[in-house]
Amino acid sequence: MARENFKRVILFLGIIALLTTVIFLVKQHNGIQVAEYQNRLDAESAEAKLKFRFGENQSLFRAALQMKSAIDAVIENPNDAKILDKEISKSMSCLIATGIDQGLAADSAISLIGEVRDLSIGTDEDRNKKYIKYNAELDGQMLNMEEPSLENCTFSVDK
Amino acid sequence: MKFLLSCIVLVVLSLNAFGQDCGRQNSVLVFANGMFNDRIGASESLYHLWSRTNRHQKSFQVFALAFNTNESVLLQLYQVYRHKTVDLNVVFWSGIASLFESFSQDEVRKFVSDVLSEEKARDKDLRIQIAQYKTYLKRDWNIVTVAHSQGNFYTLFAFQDLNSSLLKMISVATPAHKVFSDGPYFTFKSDGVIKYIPKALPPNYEKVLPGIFDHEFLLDYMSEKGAEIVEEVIRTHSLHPRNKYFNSDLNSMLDWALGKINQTETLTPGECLAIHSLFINYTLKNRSCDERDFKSVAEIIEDCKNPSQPGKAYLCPRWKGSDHELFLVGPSYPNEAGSFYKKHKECDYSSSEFKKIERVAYLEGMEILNKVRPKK
Repeated sequence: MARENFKRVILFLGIIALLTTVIFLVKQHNGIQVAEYQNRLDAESAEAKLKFRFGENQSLFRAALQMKSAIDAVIENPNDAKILDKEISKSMSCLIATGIDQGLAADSAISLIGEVRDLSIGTDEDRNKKYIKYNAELDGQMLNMEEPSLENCTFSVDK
Repeated sequence: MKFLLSCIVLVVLSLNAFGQDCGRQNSVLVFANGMFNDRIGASESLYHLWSRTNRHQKSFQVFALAFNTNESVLLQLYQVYRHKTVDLNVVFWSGIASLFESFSQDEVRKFVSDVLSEEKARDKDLRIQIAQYKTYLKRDWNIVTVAHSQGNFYTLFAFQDLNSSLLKMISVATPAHKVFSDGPYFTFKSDGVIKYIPKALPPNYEKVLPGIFDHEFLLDYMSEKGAEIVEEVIRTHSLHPRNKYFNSDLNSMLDWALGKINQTETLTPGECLAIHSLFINYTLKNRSCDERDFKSVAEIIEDCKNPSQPGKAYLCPRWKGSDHELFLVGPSYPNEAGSFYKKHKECDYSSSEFKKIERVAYLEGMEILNKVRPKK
């Protein structure tokens, strides 16, 4: 009798362990999906925000999108910060040059880079953490900057 | 009357805003950011600085960010604490050593260098920055670093370690006890961070619109003191002998003038006249950089012994209260002489005022020339 009860307990514990594992795996999978979805949503909403901010000026919108792509790249691979940072440099140079080209004063054009950064990163905790990681990878470096130049744009600027 | 005078002088001098140079040195403008800055935010500060510095003339061929990341608050505060400890060690032990005659200046310097080597061994960021500054020094480039907040520690330690005359430092909101080579600094009396740092350089500017924090580079310092910071960057950079705007036989005089312009004490009439003669020398049309030499400066001072002689008056100080940039051109940007006269108002004479002190100014000026005369 005792032996029978022991078997039942073992079976019960086994089923519980199996169910827990299955639930855990499903949750994990969902978690990843939810995180991925959230990231995509954030990236998409960032684009929508940029569209709303610069939509009337196609050149500025494209320059902002170039900077957003560069930021997305470093957020996706913060460990490759030193390689990917060159694109951040170029995109800042392009955005400022585009701003000036579109008639903004130099100071206003320069201020766009902080604005596009904020809209591109958004408020998602995970994206912010990865952006901080990218910064940490660059700590202590002497980073050469690109002069504002339309040549650093990956699109042709509308006059 | 003033307008007429301006027109006459303009015709006579024929301003030569971007005069010939004698194979000018390349220069890099560096911004060393402080706490709570990310890569893009620090770049924004640097772009503002660079854009305003290069507005009139391309003074800097390269600009770079000496980046200190936005780490966790505790880690950053720990770093500041550690740097300040090193800074205080240097102040304290150098002070103690100076009390005993048995310690020579070389021994004090060696001690400072030992303390810095220790810090270098501990701090990877500092080692990286020193190595990268070295790459510019090897190529004989001028380096002008504007350091904000914690960036001052990194810059000061790196510059003290490298100890080259090519290095110039301008400090903003500095928690350190000094600026490298006694360079200029800007700290607001209402700066909510620096006032709690022991032995930091005393605040030297009043903020027109004081707030609670008053420590941010762009928001606080550039918005109120931006023009002066930019002027210091250009001034530090432009009259430097290595920039070769003048004949090399004027190098010791340029070194002397740079020191005098940067100092806050009142200048004597002779010192004013000597610096004025450098600006006049640069402004004169058709003078090549080789012709802007010691002899030509001496001639201007000589001419000012008696400025009423025909055709010479325009060479001597006489434009009190006017916009000096109408009459004088600085090597690096048109307003350079104007900013000198704005800083040293004691040198801003009207022609009648100068007449009263012309003899003293001439004698002192000749004395200065004797001190900075090129060695044969």
